[in-house]
Amino acid sequence: MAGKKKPVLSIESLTVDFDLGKTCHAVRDTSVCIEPGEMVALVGESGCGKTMTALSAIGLQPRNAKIPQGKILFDGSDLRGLNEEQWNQYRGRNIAMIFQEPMTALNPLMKVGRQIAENARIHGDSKEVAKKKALEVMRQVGLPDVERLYNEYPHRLSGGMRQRVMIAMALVNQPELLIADEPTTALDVTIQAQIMELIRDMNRKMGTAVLLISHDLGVIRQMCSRVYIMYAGRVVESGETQEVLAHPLHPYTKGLIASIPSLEKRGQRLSSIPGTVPALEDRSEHGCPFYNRCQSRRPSCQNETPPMVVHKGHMALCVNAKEELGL
Amino acid sequence: MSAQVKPDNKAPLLEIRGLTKEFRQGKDRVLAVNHIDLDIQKGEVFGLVGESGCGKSTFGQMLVHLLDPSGGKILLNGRDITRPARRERKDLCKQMQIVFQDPYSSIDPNKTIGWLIEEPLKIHGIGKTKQERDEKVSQVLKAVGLDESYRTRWPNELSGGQRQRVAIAIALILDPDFVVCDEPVSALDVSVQAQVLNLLLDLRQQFGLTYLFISHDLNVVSYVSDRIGVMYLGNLVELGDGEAISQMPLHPYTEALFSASMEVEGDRDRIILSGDLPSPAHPPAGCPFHTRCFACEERCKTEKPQLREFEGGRFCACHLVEKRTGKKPVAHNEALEGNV
Repeated sequence: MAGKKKPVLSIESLTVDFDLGKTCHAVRDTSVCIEPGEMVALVGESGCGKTMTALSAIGLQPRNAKIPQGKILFDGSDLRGLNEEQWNQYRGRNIAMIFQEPMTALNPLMKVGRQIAENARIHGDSKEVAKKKALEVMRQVGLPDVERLYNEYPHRLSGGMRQRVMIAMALVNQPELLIADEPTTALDVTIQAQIMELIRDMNRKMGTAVLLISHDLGVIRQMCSRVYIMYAGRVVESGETQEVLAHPLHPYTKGLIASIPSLEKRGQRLSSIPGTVPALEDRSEHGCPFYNRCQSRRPSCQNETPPMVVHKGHMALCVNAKEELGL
Repeated sequence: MSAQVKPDNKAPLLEIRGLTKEFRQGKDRVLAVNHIDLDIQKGEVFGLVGESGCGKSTFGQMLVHLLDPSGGKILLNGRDITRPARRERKDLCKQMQIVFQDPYSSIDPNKTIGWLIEEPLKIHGIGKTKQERDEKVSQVLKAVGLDESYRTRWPNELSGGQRQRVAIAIALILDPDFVVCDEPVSALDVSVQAQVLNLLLDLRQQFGLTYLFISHDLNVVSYVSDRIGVMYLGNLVELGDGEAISQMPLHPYTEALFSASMEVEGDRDRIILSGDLPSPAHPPAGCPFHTRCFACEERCKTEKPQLREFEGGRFCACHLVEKRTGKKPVAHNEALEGNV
């Protein structure tokens, strides 16, 4: 796991709170670390806090969110507590983010080329240089006929092309880190494969580290070297992707893997996790976040926070993990 | 006859012949569904896959009369139901139902769950007294795994998975034979998805249902389906046994589709198609897929391939099947018309 190289981004015991009558933790004590050039995945169902973690990492968390504890270390310096102006120095230059729905993320009234060039302009390039850079990056992300496309409006593009434009926008300043929040969920299967290939390509060519947020374990297995599994605001398991998917320790990860339908499981009942992710205000302050849905819970899990078990870079937040590892 | 995979079938539940739907878009005519021939057997789960805009939902909606076909025929148990009169259309609701993708928009937020499930009974005059109807509602609630307390609850108190269960209950209250499931689990999280898939397969057993299961998720489709049909730009390009198709696709598009869906285990070589789906308003000449096909030849650009039968009850619309897979076509292709 981490160690030798200095991480690009290191989120340390981050907590994000909302005040809904009482204090609710959307993200709790979460640590995520990404090394230069690495592709790391953040997995979980909706409401697990993965997007909130990512948004906090670039200072875009909602205004009513509070961050009572934790550090967001980018290249060693803590970004928490920066003001808006200081944040803008980082966003788009050092850390860029692409979102799920490319149509709502693009400005419909602004030509595609200008939107891409704007990012370079804001970070100090002259008009000419910015345009040159924009055209260059548009070519790199595989957009056809870029001179013409530069003057097109977003509505004229297909979903896949819009997502390419988003990626071009994010990469125009060659950031050290790209955060991709479910970048292909809104796209068709064959287009999805194209975009994932592009992200991997850009990661290899430009050396951009990628934090990929997704709920699709199949995609993650093929793309990312390490994975963080989040549940109800906490990282419940993390480690090398191959290791975590082949030998999951946390019952949530196990359930997630077992519930994916496939040809091989035909005729068998899918094993599913009973219940749903608890709503923000229903989460208990103490004990294991997965307690209500867990099939291997112990009485102590209800009130005692599960221990963090780490073995050869494979971390799990579960009382049973130690036994399973034979420690 | 030829495409029957399940041995226990006699007459098909639904016979679909040359079903076509044309939409007008200004001056353009869009062939959303282009001459589809298909039999759906009693008790089977027929999976229909394809990318958005390929016409799979349009096809499903025509079957349950939410859209009127522009051409072709639909036969239910041998009876022509293509253009039913009003009375008949109402009666057909008792036999055919649909479950939609998004349970947040498909159920009325201003009615209680009990009311919503009971409404079809009132419309069709089933159950003379309130008590009889209540009993029926209780049975269905139980079948979809919701307890009595849900009767008085409101849709906004329910999670996505629970709402989808309600939508399924509404579809089943009239005891239909045939249910179109239009992406029923796409809006749900993985762990909840498994719950709803299990439920749908249980109900099929319990009530002897036949499903048309529309989805873009290849994992889901190959898990649930007995047979699979693959659509591209309004055309049925491949049809056959679910397992056979997932393991050895005949059409290059099917091959690309399955290779693009990434598996958690196993390694397949991934085929990444170049380019976007062409606009259905201006489909390419020749084979509709030739603009994105990795195996395209000269012939494909001018001559549109017909759906032909191959060994093992497989059907595929591609000129290159013999060349690429070595599969031999079954003779009497002319007689095939109407038998698919």
